[in-house]
Amino acid sequence: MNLDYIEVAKFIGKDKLNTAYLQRAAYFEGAEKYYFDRCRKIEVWHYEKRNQIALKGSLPYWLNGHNYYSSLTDWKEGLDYLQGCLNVNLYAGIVNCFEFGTIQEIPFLEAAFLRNHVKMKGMESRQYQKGNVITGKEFISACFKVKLYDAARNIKNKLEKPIKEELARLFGWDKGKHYIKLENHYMKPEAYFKGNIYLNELLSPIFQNQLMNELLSTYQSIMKTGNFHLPEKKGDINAGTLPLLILKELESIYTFRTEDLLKAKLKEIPEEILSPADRKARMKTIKDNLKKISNAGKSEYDITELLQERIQHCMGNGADRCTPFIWEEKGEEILSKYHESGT
Amino acid sequence: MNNRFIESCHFPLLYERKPETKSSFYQKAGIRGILPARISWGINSICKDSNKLKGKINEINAQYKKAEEGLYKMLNRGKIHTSIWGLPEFPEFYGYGILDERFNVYDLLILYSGNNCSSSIEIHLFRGMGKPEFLEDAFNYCRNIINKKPPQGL
Repeated sequence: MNLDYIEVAKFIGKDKLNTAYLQRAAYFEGAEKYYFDRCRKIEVWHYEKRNQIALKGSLPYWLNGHNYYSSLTDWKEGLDYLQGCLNVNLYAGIVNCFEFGTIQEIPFLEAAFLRNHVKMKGMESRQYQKGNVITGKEFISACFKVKLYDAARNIKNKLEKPIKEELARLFGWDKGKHYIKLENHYMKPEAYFKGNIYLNELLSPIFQNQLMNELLSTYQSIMKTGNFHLPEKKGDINAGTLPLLILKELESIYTFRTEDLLKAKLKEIPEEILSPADRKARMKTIKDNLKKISNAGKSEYDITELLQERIQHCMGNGADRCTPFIWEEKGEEILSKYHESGT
Repeated sequence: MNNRFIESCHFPLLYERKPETKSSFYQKAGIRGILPARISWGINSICKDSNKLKGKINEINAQYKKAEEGLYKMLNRGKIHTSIWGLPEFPEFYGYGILDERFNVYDLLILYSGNNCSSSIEIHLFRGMGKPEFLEDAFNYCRNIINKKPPQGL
């Protein structure tokens, strides 16, 4: 679990920004945009009138060439280097926006996982697709966003071969397995946390723990489908069972009762078309089909347990050693349980 | 610091001494337009003995030609100067220098030579790493390079 994209602003007072390491990219009225290029580029903006600089970009990408994982030590080293080059104390800068998230191995297809994460209360939902395949979902409010996306696809398409090899060597990334990225985007941290957040605060272990717990609780508040199981026998899965299964799954999200909706719909059909006896017979078939569907209580696509295990591991070892390893810890056990149960 | 990041800061340059000269080295390999094509090797200035200068083993001085472009051309009217210091923890390297603290630039130069700098010098330049906290990482990175390949195969 780690920080990713960040925007930090800092008033530079009487100090002078050192531009020796920067490439000038553009000039706007009152603002100059520079790039600082290392493994990837980050943007450095200089607002001359305000005497302020702003740093925008993903530090993990800039430092490591990927955002699979970056430790707090990586961040500290990167920032030390950066502030040495820019001649600005970035730790005292105000954080204007940041992302905190994790890449998690999952025991099901990414698209199936995303399809079964449907909604968050009070937040607008957005879905990203490539053709017919879902590649990401976002749940957005005014100052906060939760994002889920297919990380395996990103790694395969965006990263160069040597980096992929490094991920496999260091973190056990396997192109045959499934990975999703879960992120909390704090778009206005000062509103969300009710006060300015400074970079040194953000990097403190207490704040990191808070962000981890918040990541888990936001994940838990995503409404999921997949809590109803299909019948095990082929004979019990007829064309009528499948739509009922979907309706049942949507019940908790949209607060309705499938039986009531269907009953009402049957009543709407004129008696000339369906006689009371016909209605009764159809309702009986529907009820028989509903009996074949069982409620597992929790969505089979819910990865709360895996995330909890990761957080415990991170907190136990200190956030700095919180690597995305799961094969050596309980995560492996949890994943194997899914495989055994055939999901 | 990870190797990929260090690699992105790293510019290897090879200089060879011009025959029949004592201290004139010319660039033979590596990206042009970083240091001047010609550098002067050796302590030419006369300094008083002081504790501060203990450990200083050599100097690089150079000046960009009028038509020559270079990374440090704007710093000191095109003049380059750095002292070279030894680092006993990494005895296989000749030493290191920093360009140019006077102008808020902290670029580290690590010098390696298979012939004690008598005929050629490899200059490994690391942008922004001329600070004590990055010294060891940069030297270790160079050590790995040197151990993996023949020294002058830039």
